[in-house]
Amino acid sequence: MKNKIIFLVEDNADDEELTIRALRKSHIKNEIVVARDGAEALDFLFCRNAFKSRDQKIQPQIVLLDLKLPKLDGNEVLKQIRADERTKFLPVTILTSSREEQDLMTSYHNGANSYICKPVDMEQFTNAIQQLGLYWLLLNETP
Amino acid sequence: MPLRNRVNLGFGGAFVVLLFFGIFSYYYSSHISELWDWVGHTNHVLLELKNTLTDMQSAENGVQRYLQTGDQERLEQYHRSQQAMWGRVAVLKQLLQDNPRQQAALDEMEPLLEARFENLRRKADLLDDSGNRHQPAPAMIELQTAGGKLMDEIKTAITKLESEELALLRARDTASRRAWNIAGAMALIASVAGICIVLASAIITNRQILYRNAVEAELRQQNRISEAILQGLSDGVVVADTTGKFTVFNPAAEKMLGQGPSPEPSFKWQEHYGVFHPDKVTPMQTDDLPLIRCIKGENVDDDVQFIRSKGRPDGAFLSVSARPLRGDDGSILGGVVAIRDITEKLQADEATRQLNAELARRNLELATANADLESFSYSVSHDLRTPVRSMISFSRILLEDHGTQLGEEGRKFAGRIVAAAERMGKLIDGLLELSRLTRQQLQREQVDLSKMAQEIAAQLQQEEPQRQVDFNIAGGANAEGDTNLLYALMSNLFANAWKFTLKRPDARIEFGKMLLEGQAVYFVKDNGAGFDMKYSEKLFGAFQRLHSETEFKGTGVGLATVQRIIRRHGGKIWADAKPEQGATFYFTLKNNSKEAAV
Repeated sequence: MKNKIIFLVEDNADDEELTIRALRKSHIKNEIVVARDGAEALDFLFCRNAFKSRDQKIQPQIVLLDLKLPKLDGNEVLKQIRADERTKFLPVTILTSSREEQDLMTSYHNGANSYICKPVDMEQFTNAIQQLGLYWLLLNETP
Repeated sequence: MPLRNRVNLGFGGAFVVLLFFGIFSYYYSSHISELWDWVGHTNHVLLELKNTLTDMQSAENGVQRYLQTGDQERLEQYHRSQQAMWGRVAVLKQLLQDNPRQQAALDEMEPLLEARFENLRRKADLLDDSGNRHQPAPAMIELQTAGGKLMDEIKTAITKLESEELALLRARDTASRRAWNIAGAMALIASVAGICIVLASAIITNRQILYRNAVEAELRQQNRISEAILQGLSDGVVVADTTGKFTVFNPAAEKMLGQGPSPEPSFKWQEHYGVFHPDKVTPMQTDDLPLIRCIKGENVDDDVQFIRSKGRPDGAFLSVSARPLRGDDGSILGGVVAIRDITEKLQADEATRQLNAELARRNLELATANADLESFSYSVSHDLRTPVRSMISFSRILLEDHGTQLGEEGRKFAGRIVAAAERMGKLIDGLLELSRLTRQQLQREQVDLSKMAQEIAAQLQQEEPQRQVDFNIAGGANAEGDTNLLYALMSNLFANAWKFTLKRPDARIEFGKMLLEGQAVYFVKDNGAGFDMKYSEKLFGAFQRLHSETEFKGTGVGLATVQRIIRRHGGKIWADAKPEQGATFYFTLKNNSKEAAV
């Protein structure tokens, strides 16, 4: 389970910390890699630029992807993930503040595996993250 | 067979019949006249024969008297009579030239006559110049006897000639009578035929005249109708023959063209009427004029031209259609032109076009504004919520992980931060909900509001099971509207009623439907805190509150949302309330009779 990386793409430092905290509180000890914009996220996944030396074979167990990101937005990142053979089947969960129906539809259309709206309430948020981790890290089988 | 041929045939037949009778009549009349000539001829012969005898007797008489008196005068009588008689014989010879038999008889009679005169002369010679008889009586007697015998022979010859002529006369008379009868019958038949033909002609002519009169009356009536139509028609109509002479030019055409029919030849019409292409400046060539084109056999439809002349100084746009006017054999006799003044229509079209452009521009503005609003809502949804979440979350972390260090007052303040931030979160959610309702597409369907009310009531009760509220929900309140929006509407009204009856031990919430002036009105009634009607105008504004936050929780967008939903359904909402005596919210969904009939 240690090898299973959680890849968090989040530009807001508060949300990053809260998400990591919620994961840790849920006793999820997996390595958490954070990217702060869309371009960086793709660089990591495709081992480009700053991540040139990264081992291509090690891919995250789950990607937690915010929609509103600098440079490339979440949907664009998702499209490129799905377009590439290496990351085609990567489980991607959209983690966003948006409750817009349109955002939800676009995300699923682009191939998101699930869509979670960040609750304002701390407790609900922690619960949501906990269940998310449980499902994707323990129960889900990747190809 | 056409009437004309029949009439011709009839007249031809009549002509032949009349000609036939005419020729016959002529033939018979000339035949009769010939016969009559012959009768006259015979009578003449008879008369001459009788006179011959008379002359003979006169000569004999003269000689006889001479012998008795010796008067020379009497002997002269003998000579005169002899001369006259030979003259008659010459006439008779002449007359009987055509009849050889009679001629022969006459020739036979001639020696007898000569002999008789010889006899008479010898008798006269018996007397000498002194008037004394010098011959003896026996000679006298002998001469007397021979003379009587000759006389008898002459009489017999004359009688024979006469009877022959009389026989001829009878035969000619019979022939002429017969011819006369035939001619009479012919004349009768011809008269009858003539009368029949005249009668038939009269009948046919009369019938033709009546028919012609009827046709002419019909034509006049048609002409009057055409004239009335042309006079009253709002479209201009112009008809001209192939020489360019106008035969019809109705008042509308005169009004549109600014002047009546031009006496000038067609090549001057452009100048006369001021005809231009729609660009208003290029003069139209004579060959391009619709009337000229249609006279050449072309059909012209809605050809637009511009007219500016002294009759139409402001100019006018005309739509002109033209058709060739053809005769029975298909040859072109002229052209018919229909003219419509489209100046006002073009102006109206232009106005409509401008209006549409303006409308399109405003629509674009509106669409832009909507798009702006959408992106604004999106920003609110995403960006405003994030800091709120941070505030709440970090305050909670502070309380959880560092509570002991904060002290009691510190924990209280941190709790206030959490409460304030949570309220802000709800405000944002409410705002988003409100804006979402504005944009969402309305989908009308049949909705059972009673059932919906029961579900909402059950949910409220489940969320706060400790509360005792008496729900009174009437069944069968159906409505037509968008299920999701109506659910939001009912939830908000019920949540309000639930909230404001909090302090009532005997809390009661009612829902029902009634008919007001034929329209379905739905209502949600509670016996809660109510409000003063003088603030009712503030009721449906966003973030407007009639109660303090500490008294009743709420964001102030609930009723604003309700009103928006009702407006989108084309309905109305109003309230009736008194402080501490509860409130009733009434609403309608669609102002039509179909709704009322439900």
